[in-house]
Amino acid sequence: MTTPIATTGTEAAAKRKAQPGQLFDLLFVPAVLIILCVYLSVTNSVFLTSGNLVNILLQASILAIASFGMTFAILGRELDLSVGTGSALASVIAALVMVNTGSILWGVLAGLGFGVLLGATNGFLVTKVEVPSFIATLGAFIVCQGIALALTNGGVISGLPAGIAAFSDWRLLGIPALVWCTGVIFLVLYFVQRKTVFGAQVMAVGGNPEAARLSGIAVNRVRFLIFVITGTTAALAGLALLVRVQSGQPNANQLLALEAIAAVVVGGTSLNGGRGSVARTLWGVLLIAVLRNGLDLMGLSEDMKMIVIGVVFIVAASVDFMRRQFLKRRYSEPKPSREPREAESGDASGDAGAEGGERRTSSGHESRTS
Amino acid sequence: MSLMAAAASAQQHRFEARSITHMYGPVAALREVNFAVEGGHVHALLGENGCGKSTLIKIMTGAQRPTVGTLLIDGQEVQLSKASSAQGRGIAVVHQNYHLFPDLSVLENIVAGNAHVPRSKALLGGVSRKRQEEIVRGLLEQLNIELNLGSQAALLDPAERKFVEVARAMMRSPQFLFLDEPTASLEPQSARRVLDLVRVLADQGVGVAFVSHRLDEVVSVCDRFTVLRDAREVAHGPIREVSEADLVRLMVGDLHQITRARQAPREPSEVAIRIRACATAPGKRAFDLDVPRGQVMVLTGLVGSGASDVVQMLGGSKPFRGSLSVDGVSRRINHPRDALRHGIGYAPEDRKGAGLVIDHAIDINVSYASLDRVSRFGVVAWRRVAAIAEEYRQKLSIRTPSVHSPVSSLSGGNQQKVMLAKLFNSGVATLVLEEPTQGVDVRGRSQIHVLLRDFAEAGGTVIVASTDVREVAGISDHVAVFRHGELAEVLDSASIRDGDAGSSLQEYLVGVMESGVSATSHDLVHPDDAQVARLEQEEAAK
Repeated sequence: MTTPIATTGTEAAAKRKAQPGQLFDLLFVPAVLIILCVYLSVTNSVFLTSGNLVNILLQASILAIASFGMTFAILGRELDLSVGTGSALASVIAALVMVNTGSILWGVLAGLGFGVLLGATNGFLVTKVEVPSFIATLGAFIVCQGIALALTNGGVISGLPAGIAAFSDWRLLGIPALVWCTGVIFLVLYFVQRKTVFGAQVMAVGGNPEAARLSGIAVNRVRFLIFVITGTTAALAGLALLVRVQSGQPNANQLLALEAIAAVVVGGTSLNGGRGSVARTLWGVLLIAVLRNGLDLMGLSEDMKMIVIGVVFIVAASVDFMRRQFLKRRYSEPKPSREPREAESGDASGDAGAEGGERRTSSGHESRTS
Repeated sequence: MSLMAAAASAQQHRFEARSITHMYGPVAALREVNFAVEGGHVHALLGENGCGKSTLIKIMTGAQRPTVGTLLIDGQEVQLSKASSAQGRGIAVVHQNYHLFPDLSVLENIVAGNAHVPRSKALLGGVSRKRQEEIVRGLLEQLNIELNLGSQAALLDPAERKFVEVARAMMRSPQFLFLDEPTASLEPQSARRVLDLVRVLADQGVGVAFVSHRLDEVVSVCDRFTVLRDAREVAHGPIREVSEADLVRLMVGDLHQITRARQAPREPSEVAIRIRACATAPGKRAFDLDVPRGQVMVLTGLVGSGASDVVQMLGGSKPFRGSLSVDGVSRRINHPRDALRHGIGYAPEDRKGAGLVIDHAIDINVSYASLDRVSRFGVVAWRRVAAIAEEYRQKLSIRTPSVHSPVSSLSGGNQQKVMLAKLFNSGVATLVLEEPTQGVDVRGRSQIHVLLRDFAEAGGTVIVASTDVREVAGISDHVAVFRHGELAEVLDSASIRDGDAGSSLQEYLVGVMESGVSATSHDLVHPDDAQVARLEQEEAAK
């Protein structure tokens, strides 16, 4: 056994040295974003204007709201594909209620109520009927589209109360209300994910469902609530859509779920669950939004933009994959050392495990710092 | 059959692992181990979990390169860089767990992966299904196996599934076949059928390495044995010169080496956990068991004896068959959550797969079973979590640079300490642990034993399922011995220990585990070095 002094020594050293690695992991996406922003502001005179920046945020808001919710699903090793048409249907329901009652409040509540119901249905199917979430939410995706078209006959629901237009135009410090709302949603979900018991439970369930169960966590309850969150954020994204286009849109946001998954993964949240955060998703969304805007400014066509964004998505996913492989190699399968060393002799096995831990970390430092 | 016998006598191939040492980092999994498989013979490879058996099999089948040592086939040194090169040299392995394609037919499963292998006259790849059937039928006939080639693999009984796997391995006509616990999950009758097959293989000249925890099987089917213990080879020789009891003694080792963690308080205490009419599995005889507060009860038995089932039931990991009362109050446990609520904390055998979220930090793992206690209004105080984990790091001497390091960076013993910290922090009064020191080095093991004894001494109750007889002797106040899924005997370990200078508890346990006969009817020969030396001398004399 080592002396306490020796332990604190290694501890201090490790803390100092371990940080660059963690920081690199944490700051990778923001750094790429900053480099991209610098590049765009140098090469393009329009990019750094306040009008363009606000526009980027406004355009990103729908994707951002859906992605924040999707983060919970992916952290918990689930997927919610119903977010896209679910948000369109929410916008249709909210618009219909607003047009027919004249009340914005009732419309918003109806839209949100639908979102909660959608999430609860998905959650029920996944936890009670044990349909895999991919299938359950794919079914919901199709059903939502059908309902939206049936309610509208494929048309757009317009003639919303004047308050919606006023809200859309309202600005504080030059920033539109919708962006403020997105910010508030971010803060709430960031708090839920990082600070609450539920957030910790989502991480545990996604990290290792069996360990979560044996820790006394009600795994199915957590999974159910995950879908309620994605359903609710889908409805919020639908309301954002309604504000942006001043109507209920049965055909909009079709690919929103897939784009949200892309944004979450680009941000650095692992598709295997249990690793990532809502904050990372914010960076992912911003990166995609800036990239899209930059490609716009360069005059790329819509199809070229899709190709570039698709490639970025794949690159981001493979970076995550490579990172996991790297960690796996370093930690779980201790490499047989070439020479048998001192552990060969009789009673050295006692200290062996502990020494191994130390050596492994120190090699970790080297690879991190180099 | 006569043809095969002729082939067998023609040439006896020999596959030898000589002086193999294998290191996982600084930890030795094997130290200078010798093992040889000879054509026409069945060689038993024995030892408790974690003794190095699986590493040796990995090395001899090309899944792992040894750190030091040589492999020889018929005296010629060979390099097995990967599994396929082992196959090319006539080495095949059937793993313990089934590796079948459940939706494919028996024929397709046997042919799978062998399509390109020339067997006798024909290439299977590109040949008609009819021809495949012919070849496979010929093989099955040769092995004396009856299987319906059209059946779906998922519908086969366990013994038939094993047959399919053996047949698949035999498609390449290997000279050496490694069978890793081929009967582990089989009923005695099915096991018998597989053992018959093993004998058939040997009669046809195949060299079989046979791993099993069922020593009656070993004695009935094997020719020779090698026992590993703590990464070393402790004995080898012809099987007819040893009894089952001898083998158990060799496997579990010498009680003289055990230093007891601490002496237990002797005063009688009230019952903390009262189990009534509990059965380890449907159809097994139910039993009653009382565990006193402040003491350590170890449930032991050979692998598959049912001891770990009881612990899993107490932890809420599987449904409780029977009734339970905790501190005199009747309780139902259907989920680990219920167990925790009633003050029972469970640590599974599979730390990485089921116990911990190994990618997450130590402090976060420590909090997972006690999130309610470290939070207010649903908001977790992460600073407090880190402080608590730091405290446990020092108290349990968890070797890590920081409590924010992932659990995956820790050694097995330190991971187990994190598990314990997680349970301690949830405030439980009873710990139920499954193989708490499996895969833990010697020092970590004794540290964990001290922690468990301390917990009991402070008024907690500890129930451990362990197949490690030294662990039983090291920490138990009481021992419940399980055999074939049923409770065989409950012992007060101190009284036995005091009875006869240390070795008798082990002797007693070996006796009860093996046959249900108590120690008095066993001869109490100690498995000392002299005996091992004698066996080795006899071996050398040949």
